[in-house]
Amino acid sequence: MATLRARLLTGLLLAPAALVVAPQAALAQAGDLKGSIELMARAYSKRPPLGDRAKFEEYGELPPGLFISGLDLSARLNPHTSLDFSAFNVGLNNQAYHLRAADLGRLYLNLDYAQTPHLFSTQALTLFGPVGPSSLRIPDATRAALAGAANNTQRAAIIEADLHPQEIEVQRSRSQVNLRWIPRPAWDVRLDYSYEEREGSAPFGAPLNGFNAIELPAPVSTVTQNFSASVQYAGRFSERRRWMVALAYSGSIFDDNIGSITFDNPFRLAPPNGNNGSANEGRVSTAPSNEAHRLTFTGSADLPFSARYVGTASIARMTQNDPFIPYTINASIPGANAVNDLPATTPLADPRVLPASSLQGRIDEVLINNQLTMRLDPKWSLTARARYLEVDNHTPLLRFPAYVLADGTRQNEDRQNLRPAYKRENASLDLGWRPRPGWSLGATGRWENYDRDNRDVDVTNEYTGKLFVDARPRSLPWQGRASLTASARRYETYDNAGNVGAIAIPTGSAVIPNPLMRKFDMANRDRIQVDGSLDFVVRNRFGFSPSASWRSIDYGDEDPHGGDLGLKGEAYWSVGGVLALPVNPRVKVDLSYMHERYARTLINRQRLGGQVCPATPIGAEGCNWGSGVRDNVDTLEASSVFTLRPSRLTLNIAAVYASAQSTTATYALGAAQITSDPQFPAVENRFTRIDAKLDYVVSPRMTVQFAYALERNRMTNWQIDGLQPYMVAIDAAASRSLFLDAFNPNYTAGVFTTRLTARF
Amino acid sequence: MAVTNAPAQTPAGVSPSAMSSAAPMAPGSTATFVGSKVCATCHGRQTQTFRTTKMGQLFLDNPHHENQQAGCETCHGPGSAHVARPRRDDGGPNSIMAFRADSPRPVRTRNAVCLTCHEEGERTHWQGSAHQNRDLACTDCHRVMDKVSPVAQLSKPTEIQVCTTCHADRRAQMFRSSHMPLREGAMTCSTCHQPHGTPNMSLLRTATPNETCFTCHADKRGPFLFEHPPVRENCMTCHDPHGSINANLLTVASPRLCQQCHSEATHPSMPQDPLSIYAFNRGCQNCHGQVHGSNSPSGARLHR
Repeated sequence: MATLRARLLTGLLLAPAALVVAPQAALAQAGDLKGSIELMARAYSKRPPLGDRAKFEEYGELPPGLFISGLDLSARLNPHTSLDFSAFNVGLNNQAYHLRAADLGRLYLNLDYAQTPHLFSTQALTLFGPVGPSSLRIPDATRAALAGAANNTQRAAIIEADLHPQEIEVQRSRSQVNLRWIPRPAWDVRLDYSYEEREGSAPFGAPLNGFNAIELPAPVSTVTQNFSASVQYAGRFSERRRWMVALAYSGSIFDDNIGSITFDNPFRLAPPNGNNGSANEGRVSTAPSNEAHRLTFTGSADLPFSARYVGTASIARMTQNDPFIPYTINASIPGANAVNDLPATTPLADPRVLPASSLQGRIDEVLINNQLTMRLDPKWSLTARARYLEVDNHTPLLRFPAYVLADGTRQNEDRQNLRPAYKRENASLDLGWRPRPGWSLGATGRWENYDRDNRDVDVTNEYTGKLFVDARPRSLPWQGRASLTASARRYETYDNAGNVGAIAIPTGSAVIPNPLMRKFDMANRDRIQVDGSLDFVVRNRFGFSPSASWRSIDYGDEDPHGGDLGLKGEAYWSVGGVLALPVNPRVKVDLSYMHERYARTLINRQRLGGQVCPATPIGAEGCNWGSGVRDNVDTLEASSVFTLRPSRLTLNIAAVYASAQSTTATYALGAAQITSDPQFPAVENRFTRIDAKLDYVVSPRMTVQFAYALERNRMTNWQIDGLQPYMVAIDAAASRSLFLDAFNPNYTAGVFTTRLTARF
Repeated sequence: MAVTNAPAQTPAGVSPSAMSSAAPMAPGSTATFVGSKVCATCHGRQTQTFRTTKMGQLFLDNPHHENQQAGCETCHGPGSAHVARPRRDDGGPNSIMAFRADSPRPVRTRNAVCLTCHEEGERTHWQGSAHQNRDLACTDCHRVMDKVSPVAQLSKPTEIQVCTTCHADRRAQMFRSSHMPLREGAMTCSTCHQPHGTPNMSLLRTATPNETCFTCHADKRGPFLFEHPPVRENCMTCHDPHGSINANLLTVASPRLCQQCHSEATHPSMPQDPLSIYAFNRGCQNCHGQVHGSNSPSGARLHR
């Protein structure tokens, strides 16, 4: 009922908006005011039950009832001034409103307001209730009962009895204004501003006292403001040669209204009593408030010999200086060393023991792009590009002499913040040849260099070559595109311990990455990719467009069972096609199909610290294990249009079927402990949607549409299928963990809709 | 190639300078301008539909400057020869200029007409861009003569329909269980990409992939006290923004995602039992929730 009231209220609020437009429109001639209103009634033959609704309504509610699903008003106030207003999903949580005012060719003003929810879960269960904006607490009665639980069985009974459902959703509301002003043909001025609020909650995992995972309905309350201003001037050297300069500023301010989230420990309710993993509550930081600003200069000039230069130079800065939360909320954990003139035993919950009160984080960017295009003659063209990007991290280096693991125990291990930074340089040369109209061939050579700080690899160089041919011969009923890309990337030195470990953990640690690991974003890489597509238009617009793509990437060395560890290879191929079939003037059918296959091969090495698989830095090669992740995806779409009565009655029937299977085969290459082969069950997802729409044109000013949609999503996923909030019955090691059981992508929905569109 | 020549005659109300600065005339052309009213005599339907567009309203009813004053002939060239002998564009110097896919004129020549007015702003980087290199015509994606789409005069009702004509794999990804709200209409391809060319990778609007993501996900921007280095460099190391069968648009489900790079002694180095806290539900993120970076002094392991 409240929802209905909200819809009616919004509808009433729309009336003033219409009134704003209407008087202006009244000034216009009667023929210059146009518009339409679309009323929609929705009813379900099968509505997903509340717990199954999250995926179906992920980005917008779909309730039964009567709605204004669309409203358009368009007025020409005079020959050069227009005003357009549109609204969608009025009163629903994904409603949107747009106002466009234009003095054509001179001034454009856009005002927008849109809501986009992200519904994560309608089946989540939690013990927590929000207390204030940043605190998740267990009710006193539940706490008392849990405190008296003698074992897991009793605890499970109490938890199951006291869990309550909580919808987990973030609602985004975005207001935006854009202004474009063209005072003279040579000038172009733009101003943009947007304000976006996000309110709600999202699932978030945090441990307590080491190995106890608590999944939280973490509150979200943020504001993001983006703004930009630019001015451009275009001039002429001569009648045929032009130049342009532009200056642009863009900024972004993100504000987090929460700062940190505190939460109770359902498995430990007594006050903590020292550095022994006895925390009764935890605290996690939230994303810190931050800012970013960028200034960009762009210039272009038409040069002699049909050449054109475009260059940009840009500087940017990202800053963040939110206050640190203390090491822990647990006041019973003392420090290990005297810091900041405080006694060594000062609790680590005291913010004075921190080496700084905030980060003063700052990252500066410099970006320079240069591009020169030349037409050597009517058939040959050349494009040269050079790009320099520097991401320089000026954040201070802070040394933390101790920290607290999951609010439970002090870790006597110095930690420093890692400040990743990099320079990225590219240069490329494209050569194009158009031997005759409709034919285009090209070759590209490209070099890319990364020079990184605080990453495993310092320098990488990658060389890429590409060939392509595009054909659109006028005399033949087809067109085609094909390309071949090959590249090779090599690093100079790979040294995790020296480049990362020595900085992040200056005193060293027993738990270090395997030095044989080659992280795939920096590892040696050989890549080859082939793409091709054809379009046949045979007769009477009968068309067939097959396409295919294949790529293969090899990482690290060529030893498939040892040597370098990590991601060893990726492969992808797809084949598909589109068939356009005009059966007769009244019936048209389109079919499309695509099969995709992804494959990844990983090699890891088990290091447990035992004799068989020692935890030494390299470990034993006999403890290697591998896995192959294979994804098969089939996507089939069909649509048909039946013109039952020309210009009167049309039937559209469409269907989508997308099927995906992901399998992971995990295998031991020696003594590694593999539970089973395959280690993980397959994940399957099948999405089906069938639409039938009957459109009847009552009159030029009115149409009616009757539609039925059947939508079904089915997922089998071992990661979530057996999940319960309290997992003790499934996993003994999880007997002190609590989950939300939030994810449920399965639903079946049958929806009838009727739309009445009236135009005026 | 758009060449400007001063015509011998101009239609009533149109200044000779307008003709010299706007109309594309082939070398050797002797055709002259006749005015849009003459065009409407035979092409009444096209004139009517053109008037439903903002460009049509500007060119036909309210030209602001000389580039727009020649109406239809601003783009199609002077029409006197076509009026004298109506026939389709044969690519000759006096022929009316057509923009159909089967036009005898090269794509470059047809695009040059549009770029006469539209080369600056968001088209500044068109020359040399991926789509220009592959010989795409403006009219492959845009329909000038009719209002098919609410904005941008696209050739199909929605931008996604236009882009996925060629990028069919991206269309298939929209139907994955984990997807951004494209098929729901809350965003489009050009929310992130600028199809007319940019100096950035993958035609992104912003300097880096991360800056594109930060436009909406500014909470991931930091800088953080404890950074997760690959996150600072490229969000797409772990996410496929076009759609995935894994939760949160991940390229691979955790824990396998994380084990691509992490082999620290003890639990990251192990295969893991699927019925363990390391594997089910959120995998590694059951505990390491701050995977995008932490600002907590105890956040070195991305727990806090």
